[in-house]
Order: sequence, then structure tokens, then C-alpha cells
Amino acid sequence: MIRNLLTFNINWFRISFLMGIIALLTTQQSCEKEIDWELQNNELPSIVVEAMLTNENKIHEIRLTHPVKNINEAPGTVNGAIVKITSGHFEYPFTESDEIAGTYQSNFPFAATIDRDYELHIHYENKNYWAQTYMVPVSVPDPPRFEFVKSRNMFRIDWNNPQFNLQEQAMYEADISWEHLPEFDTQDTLTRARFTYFTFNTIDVSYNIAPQDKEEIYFPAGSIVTLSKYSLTPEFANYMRALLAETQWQGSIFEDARGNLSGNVSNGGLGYFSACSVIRVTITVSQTPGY
Amino acid sequence: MKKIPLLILFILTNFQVLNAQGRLLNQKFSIELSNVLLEDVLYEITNQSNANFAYNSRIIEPEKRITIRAKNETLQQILETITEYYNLEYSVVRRQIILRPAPEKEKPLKSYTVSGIIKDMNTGETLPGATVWAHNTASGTISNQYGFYSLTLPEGIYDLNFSFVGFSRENMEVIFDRNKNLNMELELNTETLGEVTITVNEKVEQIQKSQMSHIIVNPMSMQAMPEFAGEVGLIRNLQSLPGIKTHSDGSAFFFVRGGNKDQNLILIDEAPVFNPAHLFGYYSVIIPETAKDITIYKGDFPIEKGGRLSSVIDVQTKDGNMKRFGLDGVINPLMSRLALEGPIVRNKSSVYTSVRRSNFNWIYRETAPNVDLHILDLNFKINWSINNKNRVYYSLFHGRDNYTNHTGNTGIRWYNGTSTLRWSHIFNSRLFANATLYGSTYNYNLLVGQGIKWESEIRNISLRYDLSYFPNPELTYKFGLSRSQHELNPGNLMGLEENPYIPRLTVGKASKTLLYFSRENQLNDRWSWKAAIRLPLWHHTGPARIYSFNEKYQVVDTLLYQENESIKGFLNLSPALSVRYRVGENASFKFSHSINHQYLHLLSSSISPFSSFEIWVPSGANIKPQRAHQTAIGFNLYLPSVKLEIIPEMYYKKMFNQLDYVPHANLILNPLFHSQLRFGQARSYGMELLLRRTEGRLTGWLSYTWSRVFNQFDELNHGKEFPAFYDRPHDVSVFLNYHLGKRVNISANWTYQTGSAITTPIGFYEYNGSKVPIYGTRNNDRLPDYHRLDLSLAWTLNQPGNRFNHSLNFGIYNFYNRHNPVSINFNKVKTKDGNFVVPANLYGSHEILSTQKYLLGIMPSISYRFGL
Repeated sequence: MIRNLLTFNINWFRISFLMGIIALLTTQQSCEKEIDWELQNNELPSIVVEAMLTNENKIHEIRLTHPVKNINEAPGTVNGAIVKITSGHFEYPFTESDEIAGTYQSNFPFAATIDRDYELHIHYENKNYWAQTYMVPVSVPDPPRFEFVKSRNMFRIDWNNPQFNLQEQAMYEADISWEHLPEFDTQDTLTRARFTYFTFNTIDVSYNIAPQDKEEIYFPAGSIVTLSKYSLTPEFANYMRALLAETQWQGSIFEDARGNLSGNVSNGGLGYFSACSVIRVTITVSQTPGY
Repeated sequence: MKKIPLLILFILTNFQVLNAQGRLLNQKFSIELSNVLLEDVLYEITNQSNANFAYNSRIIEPEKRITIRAKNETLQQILETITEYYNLEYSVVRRQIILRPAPEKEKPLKSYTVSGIIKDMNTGETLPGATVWAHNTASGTISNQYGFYSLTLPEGIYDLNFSFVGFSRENMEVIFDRNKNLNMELELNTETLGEVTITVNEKVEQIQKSQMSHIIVNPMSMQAMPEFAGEVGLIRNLQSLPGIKTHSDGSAFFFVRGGNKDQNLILIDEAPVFNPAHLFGYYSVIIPETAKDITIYKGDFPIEKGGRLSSVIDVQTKDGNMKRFGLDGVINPLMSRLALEGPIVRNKSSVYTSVRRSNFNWIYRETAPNVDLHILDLNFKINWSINNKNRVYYSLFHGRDNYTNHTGNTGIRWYNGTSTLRWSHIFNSRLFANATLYGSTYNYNLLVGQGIKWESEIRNISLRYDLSYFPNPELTYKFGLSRSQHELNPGNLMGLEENPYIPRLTVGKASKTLLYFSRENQLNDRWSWKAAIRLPLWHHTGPARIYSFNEKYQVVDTLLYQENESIKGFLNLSPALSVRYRVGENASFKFSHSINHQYLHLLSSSISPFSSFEIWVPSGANIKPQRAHQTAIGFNLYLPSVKLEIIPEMYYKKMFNQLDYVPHANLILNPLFHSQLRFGQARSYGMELLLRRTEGRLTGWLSYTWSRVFNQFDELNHGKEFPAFYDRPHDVSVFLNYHLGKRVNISANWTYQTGSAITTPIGFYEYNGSKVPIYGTRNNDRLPDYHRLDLSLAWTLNQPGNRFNHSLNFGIYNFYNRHNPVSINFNKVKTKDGNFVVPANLYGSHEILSTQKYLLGIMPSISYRFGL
């Protein structure tokens, strides 16, 4: 009962209010156009850490890359780093993958737990980087709903987990696959999608009220959707909220001032070392529209 | 040594003479004569005292008679009475009294004061800012906000000249032989209406003494300016004035001389308006047609109206026609307005009311049929002139934005309200007083359904007593006191049961007690000065939960304050000095320096042109008052032959305790929002130039500003100084208005500004499938330059002089369809149908594009205006 009172989803805004407001504002022809913009040249930080432990007993991976000057440039990988995670007396060494450059895999499977602190240690080019994190529990997610789009004869996801929850912040990741369906098995057809959705305990105008137009992903009946819900510590939630502000929310009509993300990697390292409890739900999209 | 006996002899001789004179003058006797000539009196005195008189009979008016009654008085007393009456003097030589004409004395001329109210002849509206000028003297005055003037001059006959822009001038011969009341009515000059947008009067400069950095806007003639969507917006038009920069298209935010957007005090009939925006900024709550007088101060603020660092926009609404009923309105595809005014008791009391409502539901009816988007304004004013010395006003403003569904339980809604009760009292011709009780409310709601809403609010109630004393035209005193009470809700969830998970934000209450005094003195024809002191006592009180933070902004203590329990107090002196030096008839140099404090702060980390969730908080335990020191020098030159005014000014402003935020600050529903704030300094400087021509068929102005604004925060941008978002060095505006004939008027407005300072990435990194920007220094880059041209044509449909007047106004906003960007983004992909969207599929390989967002292209408008 409390949960209902303390959470809400402001979907109504997306549908009616926003359309009205945007129609009103765009009567004045609010518009966007492509522009050539030359970025200023400055020295960039050294490494980017992308590390997330989960409560699943598995080989964990840490991705280390370099920042890039141009947005469409593939990031260079960090090779030859010494990586390990410690937790009290436990030590989890990581070794660079032979198959995926810049990805470091734990030497053995392990599961993170909510009662421990974890420390990440990276030694790269005579510099040490360090980060610390912890894990909070996660509750069972509501399964996603699917909306049938008649004009495309396909489905789209209709989130029903709340955008706002005072008690629990979380990240949802929907991994959708329809490559097993015979009519979508050609190489040049989109057959997989992964996208995220968040619950925060903050009201963000660019998220709750006036989000940007987002790429729509349509998938056929029979697609398999794996919904993973990750717990977010307050610090990691702040980081992800800032990440969204700088990516998906950037340029919204109520945009906040821009700035660098505050990660938890020391010595000027970018990225974030997190630990998340995760619960996964797998659903096959039914033939029946509206499920 | 030989000189000493001679000196003694001289003294003794003279002593004897003096002694003899003394005896003569001190002898006492009585005399009683009625209506007699002087020679009869002298004869009687000679009889009684043996004094002999010598005089020339021609010096005495032959028929002038005197009545004298002296009983046992000395001869000296009797002589004094007589000589004063006949304007003579006397001397005693031995026993002879010699009478001769008294030398002409410099008779001190008495001064008298003429005072009264200057009104519009047709409507009975008082005219603030009208000039009263004594011809062939250097003396004059300007009517105050209530149309009251007071002019004190030496006894004599003067040709007084009463004038106000847009009105016919009135001359009147006035005898200053006693203090008198003289009300004046000026007639609207319909032929010049619309020619002038910003007032100028060739005598104003001479009268205004040391006032600088202010612009008076004539609301009546703002109709001549190009419209946006059929509406003349005050805030939008401010952009064309020097020293004032707006945010961008579609925004009600403006920045004055390097000050932030919350440093502007907007007053409607003395009451502050906390959000002047409708539809997130596309429209302004200030409707020029409802205003009688609009004055913009960029510095040298009126002593009774400070409280913000950068500007005061002082709007006085119309009182209502005292003589006849009137009706006027505007209809355009998006908005309609109707105003009604008229006397309740002719020449005694009147009422004015105006309603404006949007009618733009036809835009969204198809796309969002279940929503209700509208804005509504209501202005109401009633006034009662009790007698020549007392007048009472009550005014009300109600402005509402509603963007909800039809049931009204979800959406956004905000409300601005002000209410003012004012009593103007003229104690005497030199002392004017005003007692004002005013209040205002700004309330913002996000309705999320199920009766739950997020609400922020600021409420203010104030009582102020102002006195103006005009001992003579060279001297004006203003003094008074006020007391204000503020209640603030920094944003809370309402409609939920109490629960420990629900954050409760409390910032308590605040009160301000203000004493002020100013003296304005014209020393001579060239020099005048004004000194002013404001002494505000700010008191922050409970109920509030106040957090203390360490240097890492972690909470180290929590203090609970009960209702009215003292949290923090500030007593800051805000002095101001301004000086004027006149050079010739129509030119003067001016200087001003002032220190101002601001105790209310708007928290918003948004760089959007639109107003969104706004939180007002008081100075207190975690926020010190903002402070600004501003120095300005200027020159005013009026060239009567070409009716051209040239006003260059330079300023330097240093601001302390300025607010900024950590990146991605969380200010909403965050009880620890103080931890998101950072405090620093700002400095701004610039040079402004205004050239304006206000009479003739072609009128208009050219304004140019070169200015810079820099911020410095120890904990932001590595402590290095960075340009503010509104640092836009070059700013040019040209406004031209031409009367093609009596019924057709065309105008054009061109504006150019350097692009705003923005922060753009120096690189990117990948995290969780997203391309995250990396920034170097703050505001390292600039938006492309802003410029646009607006055109308008007003076609009067009726013959001049008709009581029913109506016109069609055509406008084109952004005539050459310039795409002025509001943001540059690095997060979009292009869809097959050409739209720009944020990529969602983290498996996809996207080519991210840089895009610019702009709000307004070319936009035509049409509106129909009418009046009766």
C-alpha cells in the first residue's frame, strides 16, 4: 500500500500533456536540425572504467577503455592493465580477455553480496586507480507490458514500473530478441534490442515531464524479452541520473546545466564501479495484443 | 605717548554728546493721536520733549496718515514706530532729530508651494512622470507615481508649463503668493500617440537631478512595437534596451547588467511578482495595455523599492476612467483580452478591470483532445478620491497557467497573485505620504493524480509607509519604513499520508524590517546629488529543519526550529550615492554608486529558456544574502533641434554570495538541497549607448551594449573564473517607427546579440552503451550569434477622432526566418523519416549527430484591437 502511495508514473504527461504542450510550443515551429560543430581540443583523461558486480554467481567482467575525441569514434581499449577486486580478506583477480580487447574477466566465478564493501584496484601505465562500492537489495519488478502497434503489426514496450519511487531506485534493462523467429533471421535485419529504464527518487523535469523523443523499438510477436532489474545505491543512482542528463535528456526543453559526471574512480579515472542486486524476468511476447 | 591725552579728550567730548542724546531719547511721555499727518505727530513730540526735527517734506508721502497710541514710552520707542511706518530712519545731532528715507532693505522674498495632481483630461487617470516647469527659471519638478507634484518658488508670478509625453502641453500663469493646490488635466494628443515608446521630455533631464540608469516606458504607445503572436510583450521588448539581455526566443527570463534571472524585482502596484511568465515564457504576465506607467531601473533603484541586485521593473496599473465608461480589447488567434473601465462616482472613484484568456485549444484539439491548456489574467483596480488630500486604491492581479487534463487532477498549474491596498495622503503642499499594504503569492503545482501533487510556494505580505518631503525645488527628502513577512514552501509532496519515507522540506519563514532615508539636493544649476540609505533587518525563523554541513557537504548536525524561533538574522546597510553635473542646457554627466542586498533566492539549475520547477528560498543559516556593488557613470545629451537623445553609460558591478550548483544538482524533493549549492562571486562591466528620437514621423532608437560577465566559484571549474551563460558581449537593437499617414503606422525592430556562453564537450566516453560527454572548462564555447528582424503594420480602421476606434495589426516575427539556437546537442540520431531522436537500442550502432534546437522561425500574426 505504501509503495503505491510513494511511487507514481507520469505516463499521462507523455501521452496527452506533452503532446498538447509540444503542439503548442511547436506551433512556433520549435525544431531541430543537424549542425557541424567543431569541438575544442583538450587533453582527455586516461581510462574509463565500466564495472558492475551483481549478486549472480558468474564470471564478472570489467571493461576498460580510453575516451575519444569524436563522438562516433570507437573507443580504444586499455590493454595490459592489472585488475583485481578485493572485499575484506577476499581477492578476486581479473585477467584480460583474449577475445574481447579491453575486457577483463574474473579468474573464477563469484557473487557479490549486500553485506560487503568491494574495492576495485587497477594498475595501468604506472598509475593506480581505485574505487569502492557496495550493494543494496532489489525488489521483484513488474513485468513489462507490450503495446500492439497496428500500423506496423509489431509490438512496443510499455513500461509500467514507476519512474518515481521514494523507497527504491532501480535500473531496468530489457533485452529483446527475435532472432529465433524464422522470418527475422537475416543478417541485415534488426533482431535484437537492449534498452534501459529507470526508477529514481527524484523528480527530473527532463525525465518525468518533458523527455526527448526517443528511438522506438518494435518487435514481433514471439520475441523473448528478458527484463533485468538492478538495484541502485544512492551514489550509483546519482551517477546514472547524471549520465541520463548528459545523454538521453540533453537538449530537452527543461534542460539542466551540463557538467562532468562524478564517478567513483580515483586519480582522474572516468566511469563507475558498481555492485547491483539483480532479478531477471523472461517473457515471450504473446500473439494477443495488449498483454 | 602724546596721543593719549588727545584720545582721552576725544572720549570725554563724545561721551558728553552721547550722554545728551541718551537723555533726549530716553525721556518718557504719552501721546495719543488718531489718523493724523506726520507733521502733527512731530509737532506734538516737540511740545512734549523739546526735541527739534529736521527733514525734507518731499520724502514723506503727503497724505499718509498715522494713528499712534503711546503711554509712557520713551522717545526712542515712539520714533521707531513712526519711522518704520513711514519707511524712514532717524539720527540725533545735539537736540535735533534728523529724518531721512530709510535705505532700501533687501527684503527677503517668501517662498510658496504650488502642488497638486496631474491627470489625463479624458480619463481622470493620474499621470506619473509628468513635468512641471517654471518658464525662464531653472526650476521644475516631476510628478511622482501617483501624479502628485510639489513646486516651491519665491513669491512672484510664473509661467508654469505642464507636459507629459503623448499629451498636449499646458501653460498657465500662476501667482506664487501663498501655498496653493493646483490640479492640472492634460489632454491626450491623439496625433502623436504611437510615435513614442520610451518617453523623453527635454526638461526631464534638467529636473531629474541625479537619477540615472533608468528608462521610462510609455505603455500606451507600446502598440507601435512589433508583436509576437499578436501580443506585445514587455519582457520581449526589454531586449531592445541597452544593458538588458533576454535568454532566447520564447523566454521570459532576462538579465540586467550581468545579474542573474532572480535578481530582477518585478512589481505590479508595489507587489512583487515572482514568475512573470505564461506558457513557460512565451507570454508575459505584464500586459502593457493595463499599465499606466512602466519604469525600468538598472541601477540607482528607488530607495523604497530595492531588495534585488540587478533591476526593478515597476509597473503601475491603470486606475480607471473617472469620467466615462470605456471598453477596449484585443482578439487574435491565440489570445483575447477585454477591458472595462469607468466611474463609480464621476470624478470621485473609478474601476478598471481587464481579463485576458488564451484561446489556443484549436492547436491541440486533434492531438490531445483530453487536455485543458490555458492561461488567464485578471487585473482589477478600484480607486476613490476622498478629497483633494486623500485617495485610496485597491488593485488585484491574478495570473494563472493551467496545463492539465480535463478533470484537473494531473498536469502542471501555476499561479501568480498580487493584491495592493494603498492610501495616498497629502499632508500639505510639501509633504506627501503613502501607506501601502500589499501581498503576493506564487504557487507552482505538479499534479500527479490520485490527489497527489508536488507544490512549491512563496507568499509575501508587506506594510509600507513612505513619506516625500519637498521643502523647495532643490531639495527632496524621502523616508519611510516597511515590514514584510515571507512564507516559503521549497517544494513538497502534498496529498500523501505522513510517512517517514516522504521527504519534508522546510525553510521556515522570514521577515524584513526596512528603514530608509534619502536626500536629493540640487546645489546649483550644475551640481546635484542624492544620498540614500536602506537599512534592512532580515530575520529567518522557524518552523524549519536546518542541516549543518561539513566541508564535504555531509550533514553533521540537524537543528529543529519551532514556529517563529530565530534561526539567523542579517543587518546590512545599503547605501547609495548619485551625483549629476550639468553641462549646458541639455547635457549632464552622472555618477552613481550603490550597494544592494538580496535576501530571497530562486533555486534553479536549469539552462532552459522556459520556467520550470522553481523554488524560492530565504537567506538564512546556509545561504548568505547576495550583495552587489555597482558603480556607473553616464552622460545625457539632448539635441532639441533634431529631437535626439544620446545616453551613454558605463558600469562596473561586483557581486558576492552568488549562487550556483554542483553539476546535475538535485534540488527537487531533496531535504539536503543546500548541499547542492555553491557560493562565489561575479563581476560584470560594460558600456551602453542609447540614441533615441521621439518626435516626428520617424521615431525610434538605436541601442548598443558591450559587456562582460564572469563568475568565480572556488569549488566549480577548478576555482577558475568563467563567463556566465548570459555573457553576450555585443548587443545591438534598432527600432524604427514610421507614420505613413494618420491611419497607418509601420515599425521594424532588428536585434543582434553575441551567442550565449555554453559548455560543449572536448571528448566522449562509453558507459553502458551511452556516449557520455567529457567537458573541459565551464562555458568554453558559444551558441551562434542571435539576430532577428520583426516587422509590423498597424492600420487604423476608423476616422481619427471617432469615439469607437479599431485597428488591425499585422506582424511578422523573425521576418527572415533565422534559426536562433537555444541548445547544441550531441545525442541524436536521424530516423528514416528525418526526425532527430535519442537512440534507445544499446545494441545498435548509431551515428550520433550534433544538432541545434531552435524555437521560433518566421511567425506571422494578426490581431484586431478596438476601443470605445
